[in-house]
Amino acid sequence: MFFLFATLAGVAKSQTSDGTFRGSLLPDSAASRWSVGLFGGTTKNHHIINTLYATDMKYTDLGGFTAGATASWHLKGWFSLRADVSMVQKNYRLDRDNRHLPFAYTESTNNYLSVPLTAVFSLGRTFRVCGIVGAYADYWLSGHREGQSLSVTYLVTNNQEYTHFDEDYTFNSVRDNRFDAGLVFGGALRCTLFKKLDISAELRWYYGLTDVQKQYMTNLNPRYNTTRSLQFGLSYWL
Amino acid sequence: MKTMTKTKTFFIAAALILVSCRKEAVEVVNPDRHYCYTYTDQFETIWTGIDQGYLFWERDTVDWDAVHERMLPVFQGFDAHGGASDAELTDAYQSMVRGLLDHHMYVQVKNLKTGNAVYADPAWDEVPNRDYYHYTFTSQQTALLSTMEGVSNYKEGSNSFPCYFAVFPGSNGKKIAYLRFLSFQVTSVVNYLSSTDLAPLRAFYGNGIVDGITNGWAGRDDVEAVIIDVRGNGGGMLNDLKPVVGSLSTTDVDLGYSRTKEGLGRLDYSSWTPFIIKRPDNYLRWDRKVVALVDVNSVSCSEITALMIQSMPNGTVIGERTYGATCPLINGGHDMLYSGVFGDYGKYGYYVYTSNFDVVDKGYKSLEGEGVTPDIECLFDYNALQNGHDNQLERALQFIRTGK
Repeated sequence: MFFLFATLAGVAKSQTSDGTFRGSLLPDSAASRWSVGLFGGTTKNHHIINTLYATDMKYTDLGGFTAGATASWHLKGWFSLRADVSMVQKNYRLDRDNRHLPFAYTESTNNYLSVPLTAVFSLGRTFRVCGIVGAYADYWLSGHREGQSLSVTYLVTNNQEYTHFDEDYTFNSVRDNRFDAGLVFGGALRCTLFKKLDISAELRWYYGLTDVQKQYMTNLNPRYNTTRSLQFGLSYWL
Repeated sequence: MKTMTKTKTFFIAAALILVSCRKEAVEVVNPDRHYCYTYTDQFETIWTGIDQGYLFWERDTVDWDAVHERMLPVFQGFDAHGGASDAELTDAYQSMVRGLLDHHMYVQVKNLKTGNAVYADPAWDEVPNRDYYHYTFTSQQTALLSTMEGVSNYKEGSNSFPCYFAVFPGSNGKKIAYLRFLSFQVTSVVNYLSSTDLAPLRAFYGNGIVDGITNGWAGRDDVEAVIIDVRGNGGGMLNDLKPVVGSLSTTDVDLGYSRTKEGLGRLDYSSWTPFIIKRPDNYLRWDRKVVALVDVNSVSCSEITALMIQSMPNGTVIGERTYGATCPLINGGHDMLYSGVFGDYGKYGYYVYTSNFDVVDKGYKSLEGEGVTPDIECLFDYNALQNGHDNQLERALQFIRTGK
């Protein structure tokens, strides 16, 4: 990711030096400046797994939140490099479409510390439309599971008894891959106010490339997260 | 602008290449229902079923991937050489499952060459090697019951449901009610067996049986203790536990926790949830001693019975460390839980019997593969039996009479 960041900076600087981008749409005063800010918003996570013959296991997307801080290095009016540090939730739900287990479900809440590094391409002046591309590295900080599962007392009573559970997730060091990395894509609308403040609305797509499980068995079916976020931010031009 | 376009094209191309970096899903057959036409296919199907549905991978020390690597050439060799003898196939499957914790497990496979069924059972490599292991001597032990000192009200069931009842003298003129049965099918047999068949059960619990203790000996005022003898009892239906064992407790019995598989990954588990067996409305209403008599041939439900009685404040387990098949299962559970019993011998030529509810005690300790350790150890004494003494039952009676 550092390599990507350095490469992007190099590309932008070389373009600046040869004057190729005289057509830049932002004021020259925007170049080589920094801005810092805060953002927050919602997430919706898609947990991807091929359940093979376990066809009654249905995973659905769940919402969550994201919040963090951001710093941008505006190398040119149309181009900036941006680093965020944020908390991102990647939540999902598992239901059992099984006549024996109509009550069974698990809602998983997963909190990640996320560090995306992105290149931001902008069009416009006061109002700008931005394209975002980059990569992220995440660390799975904690999790929570809530749901209902078949109780062993089913065997004692012959009734479809279930038990409700609501607990913090206990990581398994053999199974759980707490490091997650992938690509970030997105778009944003930004508006500069009072020459010092930017407000923004962003739609982001975090595309995970690392399996959330370690390769602990030969026939392991991979699981990935793809997370969308809608976030709103406020930045201050230094 | 041309350079900017190139830069964007570079990023888009790089992104498209990277998004294709996700691994593909593995391709496996459903091990619960797969027609097998070769020894290798049988092996692969059974290996996969255990790989994805076995309950104890978190604790088991067997390297299952290494088993695949080691055993695959053996089964490929059977195919290449026109088949295997029953002994060779038995050895191969026994070698495959050797060391697995699950003491319920057995593998039944049809030998494609001979048409015979062969079996493999991981517990059979472990249990007979215990230094206190012995065969069951049920008939010799029960034959002594009616001859023991002070015994009264002796009753025995029929071959349809072998069970035995007796009353022994206790301390201070009180009595001890004793019941032995060889399988947990009580709540089903009461529906179709005669009162003669069920005489021992009715003597102990009363007429209801499935309602718990009603007007039987166990509930009488002059009975100071009861003994449930599950030596040589191979287990059975868990729905016996509430009336047959729960009725001996004054409260619901908290055994610990249970979980199932929740996916096809070896370590995909549900949450731990409490394993509590409720007592029926009719139960022993005051504290008296409850003793479980167990031995190495007490299996499954018998072991849960021992656990239940051990967790009662008035309960004591006497005898030997039990077999070690403490985690229950349901036939046909594979479609529900993607673990446990899979295959169909008649249809597909293989069948694997294995647990699908992982049970641990209140300290999250598993007894699977280990068994229940009695509070008072008393090993089976063959010489004593030959001389007309059931030393384990006598030890239980001594404990009740003397408190020691």
